[in-house]
Amino acid sequence: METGSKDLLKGARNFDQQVLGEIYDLYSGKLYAYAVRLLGSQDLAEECVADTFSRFLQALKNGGGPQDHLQAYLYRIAHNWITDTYRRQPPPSLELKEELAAQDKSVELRTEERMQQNRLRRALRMLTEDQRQVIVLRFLEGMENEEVAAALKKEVGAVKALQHRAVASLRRILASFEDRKNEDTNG
Amino acid sequence: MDDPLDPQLSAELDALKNVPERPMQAAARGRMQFLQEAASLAPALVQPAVKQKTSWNVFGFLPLFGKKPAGWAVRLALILAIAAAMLGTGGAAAVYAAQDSLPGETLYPVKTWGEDVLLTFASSPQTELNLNLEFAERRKSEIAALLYEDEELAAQSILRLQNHLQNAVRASELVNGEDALPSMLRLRDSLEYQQRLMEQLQENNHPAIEAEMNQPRQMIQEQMRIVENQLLEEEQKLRDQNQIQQQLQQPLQTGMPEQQGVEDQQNQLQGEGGQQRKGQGGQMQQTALPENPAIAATPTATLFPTGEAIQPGNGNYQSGKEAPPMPEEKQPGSGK
Repeated sequence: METGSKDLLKGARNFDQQVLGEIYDLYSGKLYAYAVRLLGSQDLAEECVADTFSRFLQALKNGGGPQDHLQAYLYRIAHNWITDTYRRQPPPSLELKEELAAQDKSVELRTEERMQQNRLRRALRMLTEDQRQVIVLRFLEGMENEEVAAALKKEVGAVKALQHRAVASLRRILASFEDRKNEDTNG
Repeated sequence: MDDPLDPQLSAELDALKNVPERPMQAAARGRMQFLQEAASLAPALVQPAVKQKTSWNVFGFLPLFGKKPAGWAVRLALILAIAAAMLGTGGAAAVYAAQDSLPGETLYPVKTWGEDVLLTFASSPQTELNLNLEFAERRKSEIAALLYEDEELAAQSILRLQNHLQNAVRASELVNGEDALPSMLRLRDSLEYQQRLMEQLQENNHPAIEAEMNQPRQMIQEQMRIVENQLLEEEQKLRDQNQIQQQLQQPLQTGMPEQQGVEDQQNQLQGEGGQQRKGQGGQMQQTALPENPAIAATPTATLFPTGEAIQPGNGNYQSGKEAPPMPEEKQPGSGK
């Protein structure tokens, strides 16, 4: 649960540089990780974080912005940014074509890891927006249901139901990927 | 959890749990741009972070300069005009004459008053940074003249020096563009001077001054760290710009397919730049070298030349030409 969100927002509305710096330090790293998970690109993730905070400032300037649940609000902006990016870009390939250089792990292991990540990113993109958000916020970002509800602007009960459907859909999509892979291998 | 994941799905999701660490420079740059944007969006609401706290701020309500920083000549003319209006032409002459005064002399308060007025009218972080750096140079000259003559008077200049540098560091976090790099280099020089001065004071036992010090060494080191990070960022910006320029020239030789790559590069840099995407990119320097010679060529040795001590009346030091010397060790009372 977020603590001190209201105090921070009070300072942010006054454009207090110290408070705004605190907000950035508190949330920019989490938003960056969130964006990297979904986009698979550090550059795009930086862009996402910059735009998210910029939109937050614009909202404050126009007298808008959240009254509470600042973290959920920022995640919602980032989520919208990522969804827009999805519309512009093709989904990641399920196959790896190139380039994985061996670093600390073997090339094979890195390749396998990257394939798993792309597979999951692709599966998440096939969910509805709300389903994707609930899966990521709940199981990857580790948020409680109340915060996920704030981010989605839904009741907690609705979030639980959504989560149930999202998990089932994700499982089904991943299973279909597995089936296709087996078909390719066998025939 | 309300809907526990089965182990297989949980393992699938684990693939995305570990993400690469965010580069520190990108994080620092993003933070700086965010705060700059905040400052630009709320000019009427925000008290500039670097505004000098002074009892002379009675002129702060005068919107005389609008948004553009005025030049030195205009500012000095304004001070003289104010002084003339308040004190008659004799007063204006006093402000002018006070520029060479030292702590303890009759006109010294007029000198610092003039500085405070300039700082009050400073209308941008860059102007405030430059003014604080300029006044820090004056303090260095005063310290050089007084340290072994009158410790208590020298302490006044040291305290004002600390104040100028503290404000300069704060202002430096809000500046960018072509003017930022030279200012940052000057600031680093001044901070190094301050650090060495502290060491010298400690070594040579100046109890009256040490009692007046209000900045522990850790704070000075922290200021150094901030400025070093900002210099690294500026240097990186120049390298990125240089790289893009090089790549922009390549498609002319190799044909169109490269163009997309260049655009990607530009997008990437703009992405890192965040707010620069929104129109500030033009402030970046267009020409750059892989290694910034300005940074590399600032030898520490030249920061503290062992030349002759600055004499009283030599306060108008012009930065970039010659650094004021560290005060020479003399026997107390050996004369000016």
